[in-house]
Amino acid sequence: MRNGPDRLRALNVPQRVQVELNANGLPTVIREAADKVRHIEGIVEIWHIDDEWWREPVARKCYEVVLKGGARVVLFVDLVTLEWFVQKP
Amino acid sequence: MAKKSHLTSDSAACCWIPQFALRAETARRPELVSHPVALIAPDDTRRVWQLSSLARRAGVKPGMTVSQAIGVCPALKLCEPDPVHYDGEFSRLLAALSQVSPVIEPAELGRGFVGTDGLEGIFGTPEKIVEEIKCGVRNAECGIEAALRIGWGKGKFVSWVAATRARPGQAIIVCPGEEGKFLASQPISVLPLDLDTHRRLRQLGLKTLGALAALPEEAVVSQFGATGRRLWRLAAGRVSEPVVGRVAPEPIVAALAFFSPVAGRELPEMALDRLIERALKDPRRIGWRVQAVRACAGLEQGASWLAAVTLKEPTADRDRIAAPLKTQLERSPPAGAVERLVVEFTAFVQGTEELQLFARDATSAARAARRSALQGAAREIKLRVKRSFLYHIIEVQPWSRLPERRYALIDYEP
Repeated sequence: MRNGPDRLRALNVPQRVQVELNANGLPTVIREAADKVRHIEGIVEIWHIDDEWWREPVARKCYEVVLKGGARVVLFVDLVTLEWFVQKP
Repeated sequence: MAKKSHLTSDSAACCWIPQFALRAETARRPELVSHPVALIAPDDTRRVWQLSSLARRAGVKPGMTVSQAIGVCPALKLCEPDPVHYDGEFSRLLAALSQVSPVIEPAELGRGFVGTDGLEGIFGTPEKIVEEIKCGVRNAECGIEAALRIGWGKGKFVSWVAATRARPGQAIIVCPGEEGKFLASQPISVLPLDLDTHRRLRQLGLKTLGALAALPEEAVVSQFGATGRRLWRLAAGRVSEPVVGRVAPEPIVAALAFFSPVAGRELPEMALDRLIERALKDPRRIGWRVQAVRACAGLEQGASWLAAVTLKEPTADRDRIAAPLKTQLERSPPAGAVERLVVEFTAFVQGTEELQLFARDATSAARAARRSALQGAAREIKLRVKRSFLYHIIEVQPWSRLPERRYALIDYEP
């Protein structure tokens, strides 16, 4: 994602995070930094995105989750790099 | 902008068409001639600006509110200003003058100086040079040539004073060596004075330039400071400011890179507007209006797209510059998704700094006050937080399944 002066600045850019999974492979904890850990209370929805196969393929498995405290975020794993990201719904 | 020394001239012809905007308006709407007419001010739509002689005779004065003016003269015809038209007409006039001499210096709407050094070798005497200038102005076909007054003399001040003394359609020539004699009998109001200095000079009993020049220079300086010295020297014919022509600016370029390749017309069109706005704000563009513009797009996989346009009427108005580019974008769209868009102003036509204020569409005058308030607020934010954090949110690909592709921020400069 390219941002900077004289450019369009994308909104809602995904932030890279560490995620802990349970035995079923579902996310349970989001670790944004060493001291910023957020626990997942429930998973609302799961879906796949496969797009832009003609350019740089985008393949994501997305989870809309409810965090402890009630906030909702979208977690996704990039199926090309296997990295996890968090994003606003 | 570097100025070349050869684009100056000591001898000058001042070409002056008083009430240029009103004359340009009545030239295209001849039916107005028989009515008292008032042009509304471009920067304050509540006040009248330029007035026809019939309106003046009826008691209307410049700066009156519209309601006052109508109260004084119920038959008054009010005209919305069309600054772009006036700007275009003046530009044509300057272009016509540049056919006579390469040294042209616009001063304000309706007034410009022509440098005439060396023209005697081509046209002959000053009278013949002036005839050539008149002929050039007639060729511009603005319909207001009859109001042109020309003054010829050494330096801009002498030529300007001569132009103010000339009758419409005529010229006054001040021969070399006669500047002092000519200036001596002129009223002090021809000096570039503020109201207070003018009042003080009148209170001192000084009514003509000759009376001012008869005083010791130091005495005037002790009363009026540095301004006094300049006024005394102008009055005495001791200074002669040359006409300074200008070199056309280098191309002005504004570019924008999209964070992901963009298909479709909507976003490139919006980006064109933003880039043109940005290029228009380039300080090098001040005093110039755009005549030729091109837009280039870098496309996915290394291809490109190009639209080049020469504007029929040079302008500094964003929408007028963008319109033909958008038409080309519609008629022959890029062959792929756009990664980078560049707008380049490649040719310019002279205008004055004042014209940049005028060169908007007429309706923008009504928005000027709001824009001014917005600019004030933006300046304050910038002062407080050291940089502007004002952005527009624009739709990029609102249909995209990838949330980060849907919306973006673009710098907002009111």
